Amino acid sequence: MRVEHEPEVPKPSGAGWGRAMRVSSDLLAGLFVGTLLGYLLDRWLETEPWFLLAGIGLGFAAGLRNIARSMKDDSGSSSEI
Amino acid sequence: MIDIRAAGPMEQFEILPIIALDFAGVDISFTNSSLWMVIATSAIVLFFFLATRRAALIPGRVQSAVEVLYEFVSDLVRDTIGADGRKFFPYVFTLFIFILAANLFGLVPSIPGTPAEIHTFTPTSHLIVTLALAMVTISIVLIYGFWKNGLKFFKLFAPSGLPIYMYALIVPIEIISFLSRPISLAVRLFANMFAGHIILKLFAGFVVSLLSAGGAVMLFGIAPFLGAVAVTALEFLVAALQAYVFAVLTCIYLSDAAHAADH
Amino acid sequence: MSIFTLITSAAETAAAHGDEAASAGLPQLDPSSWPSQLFWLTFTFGILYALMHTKFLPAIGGAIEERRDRIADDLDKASEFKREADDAENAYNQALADAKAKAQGIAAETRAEVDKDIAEMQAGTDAALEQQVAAAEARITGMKADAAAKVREAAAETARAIVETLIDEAPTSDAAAKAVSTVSNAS
Repeated sequence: MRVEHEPEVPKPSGAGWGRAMRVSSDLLAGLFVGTLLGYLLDRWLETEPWFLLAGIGLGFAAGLRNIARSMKDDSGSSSEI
Repeated sequence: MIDIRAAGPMEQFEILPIIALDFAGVDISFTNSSLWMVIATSAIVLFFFLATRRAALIPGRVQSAVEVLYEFVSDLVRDTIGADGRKFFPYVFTLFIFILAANLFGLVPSIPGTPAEIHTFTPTSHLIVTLALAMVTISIVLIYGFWKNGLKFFKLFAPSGLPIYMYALIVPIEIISFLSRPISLAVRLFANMFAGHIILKLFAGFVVSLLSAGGAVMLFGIAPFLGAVAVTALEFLVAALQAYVFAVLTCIYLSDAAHAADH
Repeated sequence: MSIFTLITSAAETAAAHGDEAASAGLPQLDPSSWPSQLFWLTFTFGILYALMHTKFLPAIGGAIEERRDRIADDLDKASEFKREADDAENAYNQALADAKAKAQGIAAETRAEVDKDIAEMQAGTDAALEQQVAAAEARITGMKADAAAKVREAAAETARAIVETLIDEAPTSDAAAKAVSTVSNAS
């Protein structure tokens, strides 16, 4: 845990834009891969729509996992866009 | 008809064939995208050729610049991956410098009056290109991960110390997460380049239309012009940062492959 | 097989559905340009990687390494030179101190010798002077005694002449001398 005594410095606008971009790309990528895998499994096993639904749910969870991981990777290094 | 299309912000992303090529029924024409890939690569090669032609003990300006880049990526690889990272250094370095050059060349203004085929084009503003680069990375991660760790590589997807029934949920999530990270990486680079160029084009479009209106209206062109200048400066920053981020995340994935068994 | 095939097959299905939609919208979603982009990306990236891997990066790394070695070498050399210089300085200081000590020794010795000589010469001179003074004093004493004897003789002579004149009888010289010495002793 870091204790911050200094007053909060306003960040350059690029950083906020970059963070939003990263969080959304992390979430969307997880959702996309989960949905795609579910869709393909359904087509292969002819089980529509169960794997698709499971894929959407798991994909969303994986997207959140991605975000958590990015935050962790980021906490050590400097802020990135 | 052409003019209307040319005014749109999407025109700059269109792939225009320059030399039609066909390989076994697949269209591999030399396009404007290919042209700027070749330009970026040639510029890098020329730059590095000049820098290393006479490797001097006391470096000149060009050699110093190249050495700074070298040390920068070298430190990044060593800090992120560790001792195993040395063998990935050429790949990460090539990736970084290629993306950097492609991004930066995309910010050079087009020469007015030239055919659209040779207008400035940013190869990294196409998702397929960034996706391909991310796929190369994940292929290396998979191949190297299995080669080094064997079946212990699967530990990456199954963190130890959980109740059995949890694995049914955690393992699919981890696998999807693993597969989606390079896609996230690719989408991020693509989206940054894409969005930046659209904004630039919109500002530039305002400036041009306001200036062509003539008279007092021209004064209103100043604000979008300053906006275009500011966005261009920001885009230079984004171009460099995205190349850096791509290299950093590539290193993090490679580090996972190298250390999967330790998890 | 891998995610790559999955995506390509997904893309093909998507392309089959929305070919005309894609060409009207984003150029990025037009799959007809993908093979060309992938081919030229592989071509340029591959060449760049090969050049970097075999030529440029080893050259840069070698130059940096060589410089690092050279600097370390130079530092070693410099510290060696410094040590040598320190040694030389120490030797110089040592020699200087030796020379000083020697010079002081010589000076002290010389001074002692000179002092001794001076003392000897002084002693010699003093002795000669004393001798001369003693001789002179002896002569003065002799002359005094002589003069006193002569005075007494003259007084006796005078006394005898006076007595002869007064009583016309000359006393013997012994009696006159006796009388003079009685008188001079009394006075």
